[in-house]
Amino acid sequence: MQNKYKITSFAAIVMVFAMTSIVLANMDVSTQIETHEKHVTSFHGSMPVYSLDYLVNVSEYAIIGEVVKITPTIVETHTMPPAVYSDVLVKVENDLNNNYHDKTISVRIQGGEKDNIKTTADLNPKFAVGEQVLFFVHEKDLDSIWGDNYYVSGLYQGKYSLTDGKANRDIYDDTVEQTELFSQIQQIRGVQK
Amino acid sequence: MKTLMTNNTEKTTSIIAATAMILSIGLPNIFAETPIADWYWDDDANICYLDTELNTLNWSGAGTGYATQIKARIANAVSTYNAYMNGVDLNNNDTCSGDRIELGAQDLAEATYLAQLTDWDETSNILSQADIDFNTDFTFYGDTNQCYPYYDIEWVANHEIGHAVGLDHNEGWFANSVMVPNCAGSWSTIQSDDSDALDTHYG
Repeated sequence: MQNKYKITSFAAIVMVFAMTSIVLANMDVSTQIETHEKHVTSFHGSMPVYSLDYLVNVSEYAIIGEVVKITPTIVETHTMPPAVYSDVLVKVENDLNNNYHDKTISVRIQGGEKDNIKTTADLNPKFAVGEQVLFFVHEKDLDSIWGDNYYVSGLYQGKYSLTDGKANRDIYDDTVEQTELFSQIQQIRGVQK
Repeated sequence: MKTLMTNNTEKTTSIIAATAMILSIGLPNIFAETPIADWYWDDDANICYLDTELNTLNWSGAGTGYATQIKARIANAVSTYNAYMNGVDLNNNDTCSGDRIELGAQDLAEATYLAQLTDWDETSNILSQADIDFNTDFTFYGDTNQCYPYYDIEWVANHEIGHAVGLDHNEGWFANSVMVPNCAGSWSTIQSDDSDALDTHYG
């Protein structure tokens, strides 16, 4: 009988916790609004879901390596406000497509902070110095917003963080075994191991 | 008999406890309202169509030069938002001055965005200009009611205008929102998750 009361009390506590979580999650978030001190430009976008097959086939390289440097740079054009892009320098350990032979590669992403300008870009891949990564590199498109720079095919969909034998993509907690992913990529591309 | 009843009560209580535990973790994500950004319009905004740029978009497999048809589809998306925004109006008056949302096109490159929204200087949190650029690397369509392979430009406009008025991506597990990041059926119009968020900004 005592057990019954214990379980009932526990259930009551869990119910209160549940209701509190629901209320907090649905609260008016306008209280979080704050004023920026910097000039902020933000990019938001819309994308299709890109399949692994598409990403592999549209990309020139599938680079595995370590991020060694991230350099923010201000880009100004006549049609857009000044915005910060970042050039990500990666020490290349392998190109699963067997096409890239230099020791490092630099890819440009949107977003970063320089001087008094801050740019956010929600669908771009995030990189950190020291991070072990796999990413798909698209050939340069001089007429595009990326100019004379490589960019990541599929933006956030085309970059994996590599840790403890797993490959993880930022959004949707998409984690797979590294060996399985590498072999899948080479199979799609038809690369001899 | 009494023992049997006690066991049943305990079982029921345990089931309720387990259900409550699962709900407490899941519900906040299931019912998450579309998040709002920390910027918004405090006054009406003009809708400005950049015909020269829109004419560079590939349209319905027929090639370029179809700004008129494209504008008509985007105007539908603007009307959809006006029906849900009480505080401010998006004036579909093709006026490229004052507070405005500019709609044009740009080469955003292959395998990137369908379209991109750029918010100009948000220092004060109050917007004065936002630009929507459709990607010239894609082909867009009207009235296909689908994402792939025939991208309905009205669906894409529904999503981008959402950004332009201060909605963020909704990444809830079962989000019913025009603001899910990747093109989906819920881009067809403003959904229940979005209307409350619009009320927060403009109600």
